[in-house]
Formats: sequence, C-alpha cells, structure tokens
Amino acid sequence: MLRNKNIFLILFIGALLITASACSNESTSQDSTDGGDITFGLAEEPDTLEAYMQNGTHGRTVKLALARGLYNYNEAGELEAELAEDYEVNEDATSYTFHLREAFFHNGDPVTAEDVKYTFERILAEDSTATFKSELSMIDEIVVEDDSTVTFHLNEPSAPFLHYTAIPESVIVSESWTEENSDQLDTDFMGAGPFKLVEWQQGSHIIVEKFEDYYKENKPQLDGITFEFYTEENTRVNALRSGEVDIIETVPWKDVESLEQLDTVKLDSKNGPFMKLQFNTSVEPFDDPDVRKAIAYGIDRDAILNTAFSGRGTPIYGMAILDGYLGYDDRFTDYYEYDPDKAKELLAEAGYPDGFSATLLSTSQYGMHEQTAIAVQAELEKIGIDITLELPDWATRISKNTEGDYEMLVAGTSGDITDGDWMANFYQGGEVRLNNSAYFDDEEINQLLAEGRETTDEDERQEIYEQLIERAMEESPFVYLNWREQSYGMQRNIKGFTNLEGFLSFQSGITLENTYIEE
Amino acid sequence: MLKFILKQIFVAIIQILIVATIVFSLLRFMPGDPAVLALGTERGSDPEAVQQMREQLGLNEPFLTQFADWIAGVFQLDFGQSLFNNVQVWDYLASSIPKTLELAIAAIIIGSVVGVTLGILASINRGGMIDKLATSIAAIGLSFPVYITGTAFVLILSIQFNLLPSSGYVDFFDDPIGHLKSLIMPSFAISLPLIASITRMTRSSMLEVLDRDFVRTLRAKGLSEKIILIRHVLRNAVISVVTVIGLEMANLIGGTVLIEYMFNWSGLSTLLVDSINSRDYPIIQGAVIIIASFYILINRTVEIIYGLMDPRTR
Amino acid sequence: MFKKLLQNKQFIFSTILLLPVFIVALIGQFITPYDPLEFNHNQVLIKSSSEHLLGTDEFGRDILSRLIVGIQPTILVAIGATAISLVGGTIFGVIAGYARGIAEKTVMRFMDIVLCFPPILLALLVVGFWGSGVNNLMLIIGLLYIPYFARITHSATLQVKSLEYVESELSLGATHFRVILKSILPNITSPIIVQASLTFAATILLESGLSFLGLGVTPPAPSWGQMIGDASGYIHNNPFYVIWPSLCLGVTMLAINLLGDSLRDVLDPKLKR
Repeated sequence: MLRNKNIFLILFIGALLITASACSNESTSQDSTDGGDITFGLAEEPDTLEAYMQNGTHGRTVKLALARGLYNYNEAGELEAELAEDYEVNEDATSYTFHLREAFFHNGDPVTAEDVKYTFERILAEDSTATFKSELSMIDEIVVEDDSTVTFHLNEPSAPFLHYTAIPESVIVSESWTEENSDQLDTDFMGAGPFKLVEWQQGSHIIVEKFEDYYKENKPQLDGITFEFYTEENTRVNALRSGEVDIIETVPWKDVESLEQLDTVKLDSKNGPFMKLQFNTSVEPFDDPDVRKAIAYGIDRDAILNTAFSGRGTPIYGMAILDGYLGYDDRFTDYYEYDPDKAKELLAEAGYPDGFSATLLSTSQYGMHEQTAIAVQAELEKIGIDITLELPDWATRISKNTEGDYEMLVAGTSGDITDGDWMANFYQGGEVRLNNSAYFDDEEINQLLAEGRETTDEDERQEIYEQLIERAMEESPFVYLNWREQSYGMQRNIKGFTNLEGFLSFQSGITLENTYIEE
Repeated sequence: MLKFILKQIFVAIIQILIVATIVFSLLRFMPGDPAVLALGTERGSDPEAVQQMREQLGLNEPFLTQFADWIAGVFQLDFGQSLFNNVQVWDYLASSIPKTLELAIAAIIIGSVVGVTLGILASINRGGMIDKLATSIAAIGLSFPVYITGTAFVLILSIQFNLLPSSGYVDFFDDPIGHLKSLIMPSFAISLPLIASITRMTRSSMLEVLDRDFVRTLRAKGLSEKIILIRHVLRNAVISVVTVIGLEMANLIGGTVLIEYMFNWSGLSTLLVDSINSRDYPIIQGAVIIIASFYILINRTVEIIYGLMDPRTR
Repeated sequence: MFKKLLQNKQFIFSTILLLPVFIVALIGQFITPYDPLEFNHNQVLIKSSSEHLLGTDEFGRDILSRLIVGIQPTILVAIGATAISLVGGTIFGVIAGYARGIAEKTVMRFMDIVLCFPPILLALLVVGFWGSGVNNLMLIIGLLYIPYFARITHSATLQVKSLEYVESELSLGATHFRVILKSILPNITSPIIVQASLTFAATILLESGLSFLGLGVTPPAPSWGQMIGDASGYIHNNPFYVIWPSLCLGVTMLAINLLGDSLRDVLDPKLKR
C-alpha cells in the first residue's frame, strides 16, 4: 500500500516536472518568437472603418484588431469580459451594470464609463446609420454611476442584451476623439484594441502596429499586421501558395484539397455560415407552406455541396442550428430528407400536380451564389418545377432582395449572436429585410420570439426556442441547404490564429491578439 | 496653328462633358441602391437607417440638383468623394492611374520594339521564312484573347516552372525586383495583340514605301541597301507606325480590364469595375472622365502629330 | 470577285476551318454525346475518360457537349451585333458623307463620343443597366460598333460622291435616295465587307470577354468565354478544363482573322500586302 503511494508520488512529481519543463519550453519558445510582422490577405477592401457598421468579414477582422467591446466572444465562442471586468443584471433583465477594468485607448486616454455611454448613445442617435440600431433599441437610458461603472436601463426585459454588446459593432469608442474627428470616422479609427491604425492607403493596404499599452499583459505578440486586399479569389490563394501572405480569409472551396497537400500551408476550417432559399411568401405558389416544404424535400443537398462547395460543408435537411445553441434538438437536424416522391406528392396536394414555373434570384458576381442557383435549378427540375435563373450583379440582387422583388432567392448568411435571439433577424415578421423571407409574418413565431427575449430562465428559453423551431419547420419560410465550410489558410509557422466555431467564424479577428510567428 | 489647337481643345471639352452627362444619367437609372450597399450587405439594415444614409449621401436631392452640384465641381477639377467613406475621388485615381499607365507603357514598349523589329525583318524578307513566321505570330497574337494568353503564361511560368508570381502588384519601393517580376506576365499578355498590329502595320507600310519609285532610283544610284532602308524607307514608313502605336495607347487606358482582373493589378479599370459593382457614383464618374480624357487627348495629339509629319493630310 | 476569292489559298483554308464551326453552331444540340446541362455531382472535374472524352466540369457536366453547344450563343451574338452595327453604321456614315454640313458634323462627333469609351467598359455599364443574356448582348455590342462602320462608310461615301458620274446623275434629276441606293452603296460594299469581318472578330472577343467576367450568356447555358472564366478557377484541379475552350476560341478567332485578311486582299487591293 505504502509502496504504491510512493510510486504514485514519484509519478506525480515526475509528471509535474515534465509539465513544468514543457511549460517553460513553451514559454521560452514563445518569448523567442515574440514580435514580427505578418501580412493578412483580405477578400475585399473594407468600405469604412466606422465602428457601428457591419461591413463584412474583412471589415470585422480589421475592427477586431483595432478595438474591443465591453464583452466579446472568445476563442471558445463564449462571452468573455474585455473592457468590462464583469457585469450584474437585475432579476427581470431590465437593468445591466458593467464594471470597467483599467484599460486605455490608443491615444493614452483611459476607457471610462462616459465613453461607454457615448458609444451606445451614438449608435441609437437619430442620425445614426448603425447596423444594429434596432437590436439595441431596447436601451432606455444609460447612467454613469462613476468613472468605471455604467448601468443600462432597458425598456423591456432582454435576456440576449449581453450578446448584443459583444458583437464587433458594439466596440467602445472614445468620446473626445470621436467628437474631434467626426469628419473622418470612415477612414480613421482609434479604439482600445491590441493594435493601432498606422495607415490605410485606399486601394492598397491597411497597416496596424502593436499597441504597447493594451490592457492584456504580453499581448499582442505581433509587432504589426499589413492587411492586403485580394478581391480575386485565385489571386488570393496563389499569394498564400507563394508565401506572399501569411494568412488569407475565405479560402475558395475548390482549393481546399490542393492546399491541404502543401507542406508549407495549413487550413483552419469550420462549419460557419449556411446557404438557404428565401421565398416571397406573398406570391403564388410560395404563399403555400406545402410548396415550400415540397422544395425542402425535393433538393438533394449533396448536389449543391459537391458542385458549388467542392464537398466542403454539411447538408442541412432541417434547421440551421448547431449543437449547444438554444433551441437545438436532434430532431431538427433531419426534419426533412431528400425524397422527390414526397415532394411531388406535396406539390400535388397543394394543387400543382404538374409543377410550375418560377424565377430564382441569385448573382453572377459570386461563384458560390451562382453555382448554388444552378444546382438548385437542376434539382427542382426533377420534381417538375421549371426555374428561370436571374443573375444580375450583386448590387442589383441586393436591391431586389431588400425590396422584396423576387420569387425565390439564394442567400448565404449566418446568425449575428450565439443566443437564441439570432432567429429574430430571420423570422420576425414586419417589413421586408435582407434576411427574412419577404412578407412572411407568423403570429405564433413573433410571439415566441418576444417570449424568448423576456424570459431569463435558461431551461424555459430552451423550451421556447424548441417550439419556435418546430413552428418554423412546419411553416418553412426558408429552405436551408447546407453549412458551408469557412476556411482560413495560413503558413505553417503562424500560430495562435483560430477560426471561431459556428456563427462566430466572421469574428475570428479577435484571435489576432494571440497570433505569433513560430521560428 | 494656335487657333487650330484651341479649337481642338474646345471640341474635346464638349465631348468630355457629354460623356460625363451620359454616364451620370445612366448611373442614376441603374438598379442597385448605394445607400443600401453603404450599410453593408452581409447583414442588412433597417429601412430607417437606409433612409438616413440616403440623406447623408445626398441621394434624396432632385436629379438636376445633384447633377448641377457635381458638374460645378468637375469644372474646378473636384470629382467629389467616395460615397462609402470620405476619401476624395482624386486619391483613388491618384493611386490607380500610375499603375495602369505603367502597365500600358510597358506593354507599348514591348509591343513597339518587338513589333517594329518583326515588321522590318518581314518586309525585307518578303515571302521568306521570317516573313511567314512574323505573319503567323501576328495572326495568333490577334486571335487569342488576352485572358487566354494570360492563363497560358500562368500555367507555364507560374504553375509549371514556378518562375514568376502568378499575380499581384508589388510596390516598387518595397521590392524593385519583385515589382518588375510581377509586371512581366501582365504586360506581355497585353502586348501580344499590340505586337500583332504593329508588326502588320510596319510590314505593310515598309512594303508600300519599298515599292515606290524613289527607292528604285536610290538603288539605281548605287546606295547601299542598309542606308536606303534606314535613311529613307523607315523614315517614310514611321508615320503610320507611330499613328498605330498612339491609337493602341489610347485604347489601353481603360482597356486593360481583363488583365488587371486576372493579375490583381489594381489600376484604373479595376477601380472602375469595383466602383460599378458598389455603385460608388462619384468614383465611376471620375474614372470615366479620366479615361475619356486620356483617349481624346492621345487621339488629338496623334492627329496633330500626324498632320505635322505628313503635309498631305492638312 | 468570287473567282478571285476561290483562287486565294488563305480564303480556302480559313473557310475550311470555319465551316465546321458554323455547322456545329447550327446543329450542335443534336449531336452532343450528353445533355450539356446534365449534372453528375459524383463525377466532377474528371480529366478525360472513355465516357467523357474531354472530361467534366465542376458540376460533372460533359465538357465536349458544352463546347459543342457553347459556340451557338457566341456566333449568334456576333452575327446579330455585326448586323446591327453594319446597318446602323452604314446609315449614319452614308448620310453624313452624302449630306455633309451640320448633319455630318453632328453624326461624326457623336460617333467620336461613343468611341472614347473603351468598348468593354461601356458594355459593363450597359449590362449592369439592362442585364445580360443573348439578346441584350447582341444589342449592346451592336450599338458599340456602329461608330466603326460609320467612320468607314463615311470616308468611302465621300470618295464615291466626288466622282463625276454621281454629280451627273443628280443633274439628270435622280432623287437623293436613288443615288444613294444605286450609285453610292454598290460602290462602297468592299470596305463594308472588310469592316464586317473585322467587327465579327471583335464582337466575338468582346462577347467572350464579358462572358469570362460572368456578364455574358445566362447560365446554365454555356458559352466558350464563360467556360474559360469558370475553368480558370480550376487550373490547379484540372488544367485541361481551361485548355479546351481556350483552344476552340483561339482557333476560331484565327480562322476568322485569316478570312478577314483574305477578303481584304481580294476586295481592297490598295491595302494588298
């Protein structure tokens, strides 16, 4: 017995020593690799650096290098306190109080409660064009308690409020700096993030450099990042192949396999965004849920995956929701199946035994949209639906989308937050939006969305969102097609940069503070 | 002569104004709303924000007011600023014009040197092997679109032998050698059709001059063939060759869309195509005016030079 | 004229090259080994096999079948656009050259304006405005090439009009319309034919360029330019995919250019090389 204990003790000490040495090894290797500059290949040039506008993955990546919010989603996809140290919420979720930590803006000013108040009041201001203005409109009043304490009073209970403070569009800006530079907020930025802006040369590059007074010790590890713009996807991939850039975003699916075979390059791929069909539910025959369901049954999702996405992704035969998200249940992942006979049956029941003709709006500007449309057209032909493709450029497609000027539409998108309230943007009735099915307005769903926001108990909320998804599947205002793999490609010696799971892939820029170059 | 030039300038200004008007009106009737696009297209915004944005961008103003404001700016050479950020259109133009000019000039130099040489060799070799070879090269150069020859270059030089970067612009001051390397493939791809047309023009005008009586007289006088060729024939043939080179140059400014797109060379055409995609009206308008001005300027210059060199055309 | 053409080796050679192209354009859809639109998502980007001679594309569609069908829209657009620009340009050019004065100035200056847009950029703008598709492309490209015809016919008309017999006809009381129809037009056919062959080649280049950028023929119907554009993304996966349509397009263009040259040699001896 005693001997055994001794053995365990020896083993334990040995293990400790090994771990310790491993740790110290790691830390020394990190020390030796501190610093250096990398080049990041963006898929597009950001239109603006205006903090409160959601201007795409590329814009968010730059934003998250430059700024931090009260909270942000971390590498594991959880909410993590950033400029706030922690928060308190009252029982009915109508008042949130944040305690700020000691942190500094790039110009040396401390981040204060006044800045937080200013940031959100600016989003809500009448002349603001903030993307998430209506999502944050539950804020009634912002009260500065002291320099480092600020309370948000809401005009209705909101369980998802914290999530909306964590999106990249809610990053904290400096009141004094923003007021002084109000005429150049599109091209200049100053925040409290790990890097500060050096220059943005339009049409060429954006350069950021390490912010020495960043509130996290020993971060960021890099001295600087140059963001280059590679709009043409083959060019972007070739730049990675040749080593011209260290990281690229949005690796085209067709290149994933050949890149994986290279010794110099690695990929980080996650199932993030999804593809779906939207319907104008005010026009025949798409006003009939049975027709929409028939389409859900009538498309072999592998046909889309294998062609438009070179097989990189996962089919969705139900709801676009990942395990761990509110409302997730096994039964929703295979609510439908590929069954053309059933599809025809449903069409016959709906009064279209011989099918019908319709137009499908997509765009010729982006390969995945065009190819998805072509694949959907071929699949629907098999159940008797004759599709005419409409493939204008992106700008025209967006206009038609937001004006509800379409019958069917191919869309590729993702949720904004990991809370169940992400569904509001998709299912809430009301005016035609980019992401809802035009004119879809279901009383029961609207009701459930409101309940979901007001309820604070997690189990109850799970219940509510399950009900909501059940209803959504029955009504089928969207036909989800597939998850598409979102990949970052990088040189093998780049460490620490991580593609976030699920909806958060677009916010992977948060991990630029951990990124380093291994010798 | 001064009167003639002034008149030319006046006509050119009128032409540019008409071009500007056409583009301006065309854009306002084009589907696609810059206010919606400015708010980002990955997420979408609520209609209130779109309305707000439209007001900020001045898109709510009546058509004629917008046009008058813009034209007034153009007369002061102020093209306004991008709809998406407050960057001056001039800043965008200033960073893209040199890139396009560089590409065009490199292509013109390659095209002229190779084309004129081939053309001369072909003409003095009339009917021989070199002539046939030159004519075939010219025919192929004219037949294969730039994006095919560009792709062929990439396939062979980048993918197969890994000699040159497949695309991308490298700043000269960062890496001069890298810059020249990145210039090779796009400029050669563009120069192929130029080589073709310059070879043909050189050859045919050389032949035309060679057939003239005075050459026979010179030959009879016993002058060496070399001197006849360089002193007399080339000199006479050069006018039409210069004209062709000039016209090709005019076509290249703004005519390099496909190559710029293939090689990620962010010049004037790329700027124009990108801003058409994002409906950034002021940039589109500015870029079109610049392209049209270049075109008209070069054409008029060629005409004037042609007039000076060849008294018959006056 | 025809006799002369038939004696021209280059003419014979290019015609032999072009004949199958036109035949395929005419009857293409009846001779494809597979349905050019049929998907097979389990057989994508195959290089070459006994089943698919030239391999398959990213949708598993048979490349040979798509090549066969893909010539049709290109030829259709080229013929239509050439016809539009020929008719439009000739009308403008002849009127300008015949009437002179203010009409001439207006027409020719307007043509100059159209000319100072690079064709592909103007086409981009107009396609954004009108949308793409065969009919629109035909119209857009046709309109773009009107000035080239107008310039040629304008100067040709000037030459013919200055000939003495035209003047004498007018003094004999012939109407302007009759003079244009009977005396001017027949005398300017040569430059028109030569210009038509040049325009035909240029419109094919422009159509395929627009299709290459994804602004041409509406998918899933194929066209060569569009196939090259799609395929250029798969260079690493299957280089032959881009090689086949490129070769087809290049050889067809070569044949058309050779044909144009031989026409010019025969019809316009002044430019004889």
